[in-house]
Amino acid sequence: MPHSRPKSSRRIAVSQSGKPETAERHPSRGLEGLLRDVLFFVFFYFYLWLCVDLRLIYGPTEAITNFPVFYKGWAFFRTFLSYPGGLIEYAAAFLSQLFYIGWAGALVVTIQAWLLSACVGCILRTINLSRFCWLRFLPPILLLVAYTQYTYHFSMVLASLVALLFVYLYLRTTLPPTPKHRRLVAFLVLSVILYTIAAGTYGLFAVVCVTYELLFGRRWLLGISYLLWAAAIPYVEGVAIFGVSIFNAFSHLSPFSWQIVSFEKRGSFIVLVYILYAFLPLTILATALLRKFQNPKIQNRITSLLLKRMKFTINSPALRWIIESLVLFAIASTVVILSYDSKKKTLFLTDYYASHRMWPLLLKVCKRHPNDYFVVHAANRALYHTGRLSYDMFSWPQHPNTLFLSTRDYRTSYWRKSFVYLDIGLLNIAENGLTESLEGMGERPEILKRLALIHMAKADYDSARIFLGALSKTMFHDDWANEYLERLKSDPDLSQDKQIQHLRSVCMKKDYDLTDLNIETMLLHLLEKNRENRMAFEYLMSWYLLTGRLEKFVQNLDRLDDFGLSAFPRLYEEAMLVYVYSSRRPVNLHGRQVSAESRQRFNGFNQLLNDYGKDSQAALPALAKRYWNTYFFYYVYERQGRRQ
Amino acid sequence: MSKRYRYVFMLLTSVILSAGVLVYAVRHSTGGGLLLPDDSNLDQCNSIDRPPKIHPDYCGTVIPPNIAPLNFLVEESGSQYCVRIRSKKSRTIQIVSRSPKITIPQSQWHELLNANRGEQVNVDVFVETANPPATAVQWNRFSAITNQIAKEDIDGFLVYRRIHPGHGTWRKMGIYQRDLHRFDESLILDNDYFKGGCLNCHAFCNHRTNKISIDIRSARYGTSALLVQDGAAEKVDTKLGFFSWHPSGRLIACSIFKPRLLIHTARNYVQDILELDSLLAYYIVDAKTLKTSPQISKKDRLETYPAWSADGRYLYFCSAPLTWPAGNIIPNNFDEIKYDLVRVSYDIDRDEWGSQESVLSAKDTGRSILLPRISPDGRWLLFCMSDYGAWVVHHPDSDLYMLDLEAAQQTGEYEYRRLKINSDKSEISHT
Repeated sequence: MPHSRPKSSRRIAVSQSGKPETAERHPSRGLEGLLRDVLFFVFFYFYLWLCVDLRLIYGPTEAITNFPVFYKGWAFFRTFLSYPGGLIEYAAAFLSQLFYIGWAGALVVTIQAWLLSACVGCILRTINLSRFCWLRFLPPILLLVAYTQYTYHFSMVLASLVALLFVYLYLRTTLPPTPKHRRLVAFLVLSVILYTIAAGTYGLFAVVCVTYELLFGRRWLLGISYLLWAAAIPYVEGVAIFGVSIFNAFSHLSPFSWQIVSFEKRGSFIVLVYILYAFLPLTILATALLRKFQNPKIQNRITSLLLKRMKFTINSPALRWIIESLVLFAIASTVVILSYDSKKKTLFLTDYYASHRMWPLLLKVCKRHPNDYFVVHAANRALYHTGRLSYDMFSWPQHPNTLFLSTRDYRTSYWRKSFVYLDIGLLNIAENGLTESLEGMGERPEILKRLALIHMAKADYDSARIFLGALSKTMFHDDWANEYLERLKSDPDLSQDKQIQHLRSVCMKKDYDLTDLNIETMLLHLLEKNRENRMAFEYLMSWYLLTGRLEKFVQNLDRLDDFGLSAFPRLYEEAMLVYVYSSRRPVNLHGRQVSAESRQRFNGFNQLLNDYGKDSQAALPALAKRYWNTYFFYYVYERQGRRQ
Repeated sequence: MSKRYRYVFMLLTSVILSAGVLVYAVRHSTGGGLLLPDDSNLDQCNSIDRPPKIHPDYCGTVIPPNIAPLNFLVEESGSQYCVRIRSKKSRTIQIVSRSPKITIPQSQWHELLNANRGEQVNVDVFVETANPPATAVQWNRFSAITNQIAKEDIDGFLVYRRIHPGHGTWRKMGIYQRDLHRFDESLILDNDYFKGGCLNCHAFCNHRTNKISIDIRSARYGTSALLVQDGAAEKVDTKLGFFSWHPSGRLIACSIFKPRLLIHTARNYVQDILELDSLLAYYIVDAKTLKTSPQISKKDRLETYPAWSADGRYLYFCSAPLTWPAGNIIPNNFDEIKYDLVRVSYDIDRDEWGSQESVLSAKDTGRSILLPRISPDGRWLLFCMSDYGAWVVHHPDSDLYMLDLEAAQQTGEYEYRRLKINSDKSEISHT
């Protein structure tokens, strides 16, 4: 039985009788606590909405492979009824879709955090651990860290919330003096229901109940029987009744599931969820052990000493409230600042803007961490789409592999690579990547959308309808899909659809095995199909610039006529000047001029280099300062194999 | 009765009454007071002299009497749809729907099919015009769709693997069985049971379920096959590839191959798989031994897709010349690889193989001959042919063909015919 405490001085309100239903409640304390909660969760909400932006987690992004899919309709819902934990998964899948709308996703997570906090507070008060009620802010702080780090553990957190709700239900329905048999019945009924809803997370409920009964209630036999039931119920319900595997029966939806720990990305910062699961049972265990082993005389002496010291600081309730609140906000802010990873945020923003074709914002964000291959790759794509690739490309540290992410590190980066393949006309390669992404990331609407477009461009309307049909059951992409389904009826060949017609005009028609193709051959084949495939042309020229193959670059200058360009882009001028200077051969300008500015820059670069006796190492700082974004600088310092 | 309970009783009664009224209204709603077409007003229907467009196109088919309802979509514009399914005996099934999706009640469907084995079944489709005048009703009646009901049942279950069409990565996959009498699907095995591995190749001995083999691949548990015999599962630490149970159940013929994925840059199908090398072997179940023989694993040939004859005396398989050096390089002439259909005799008691005989040659057919499947009575050999290659699931040119083995025994010639069920999509006889 929880102990009663002697009434202390009125300067400190200490929890009194052992019966929760008769516990004293300080009226202003209730209001103060509520106000603090409101302030905290308002900060929580706005932080998630405006700083974190949960749309970045919605993505889709390769960094999160377990973001759930959601389809409208009974058929989709029914699939969740066939295994334990399905209902929570369905609810999590539905609620997670609201991440698509920044403020709505932040609201969902805030409500979840608030409910967790309220639940923990209620549980602690019910078992007479009111002085630990400050622990109720631990779950929201953990969530702040998780979302600051752009991880997705929503389903597990939702499951733990439900488990804690059931703990609270158990405690409320078994308040003393409930006899043991009624406690057992309550535990069993709640166990069966909770296991059906939350699968492996049931373990959290069981552990808390067992700990409480053994250490607080001192009902040893009951506690041990709970332990046995906790092992039996998943096996009977999960394995025998639902027919799931034994691994899933005991761990599904919990952070110990193989579906989480076996995958690096899904297990990112999983320790936060472990803390979320463990802190309540550990708190109960610790307090029970402390009570068991503490010396009451020493305890009272320490308490009274502490009280004497703290007399002057907590005189005024208002001051105490302010200090406590400041401490809370300070802890939350410190944790957020320490867990903030700006590079990670940049990558998520890059993913998002690249996927949604938000070029100006993409270029802005790509400035933050320009040394990442994916960031440069995305910047190149944005530069092309804003007509700046052949002007500003070397404002980023370039490498030939950035064009198509053609390094081993990005071998399985199917989703990220599919953007450029689709844009440039390599539809089959994009389709292959997107199909693999379906498996790796799930049936995310953005993936289905692109697959639908590809199949429509290839006039494979049957396959397109499958993807459109699936999309029409999603929450935010149904209109797009339905529009296309209607369009397929009125314009079966989509001859009026500009996007489809463009894809058809640029897609490669000659068949090769991809492994036979190198980048140059691929781009030349694309231009062979359509000389006016501007992206293929600019990427081809960029490829020649990046690999230093200026002879080939110069040979393809005549292609500028296909695009009606009357002047050379800046970087092309610089490359031509380098070519002429290094090869001593003339270049056919095809009726165009090299601008005076480019000549001046070239002369200036050469002059500066000469000033250092042609010692490129010595000249590096000076040249970097003035010519960092020119082709001259890249050619001398950063070209592949000559990186300094 | 206390006041409280009185109120509860009144509330419950009103809820039940309202629900009853609502259900009645919905069931008997005729969408604006319109009459449904029946025998009394058929002459008022506007006749359209063609069958309706429906999807799938269940026209002129043979329907097994034990199959699940053949629900379909009416691809005609309208505001209401009425479908009547009738045969010689048993009552007509009538379905009325506001949407073009027609769902046939299972029990009535089975009753009709069962009572009319060997008879014709007609489907009349009526479509109410989209924008009727306020007072007029216009039902349009299309020509009847006629199908035949078979006398015999088909096998009640179908087993398949279900995955997304990817090759490099996978998430959840499983082997499922579908009850063909209805729409129930149940799980046989999925990769949750071995923590996310891969499973596919599966085969049944004599089309029965007492002996099954399933290949699995798992980072944690290795590559192996599961043999399930009479309720007990056993792990065989070898990959069996495509396999075929000997009718005796004593051994399994299998292919061991080295596949290589190829991505097409411009074909309508993207992924293609070639076997850079392959041979046949056989696993003796009791001895737990894997063996091979020169007749089924020639060094200059690719052998794959084993299939036992119904009596177990012959092993049919596909064989193509291996004209490139070993390694990982896809040969330039990959689209010229064509497989022949051959067979080898086998004496299971002596474990002796005969010499290879040609059944069908790719040179004669001009196409690659693949995936032989022999009917349980041993008479028919179903196979597919494609322009090239061995893994043709993505090839739209792959079609199904049938060969009469009994006739071939008498005439000495293997005559085959292309089946009418082929389409412009890929048809293959499955592993």
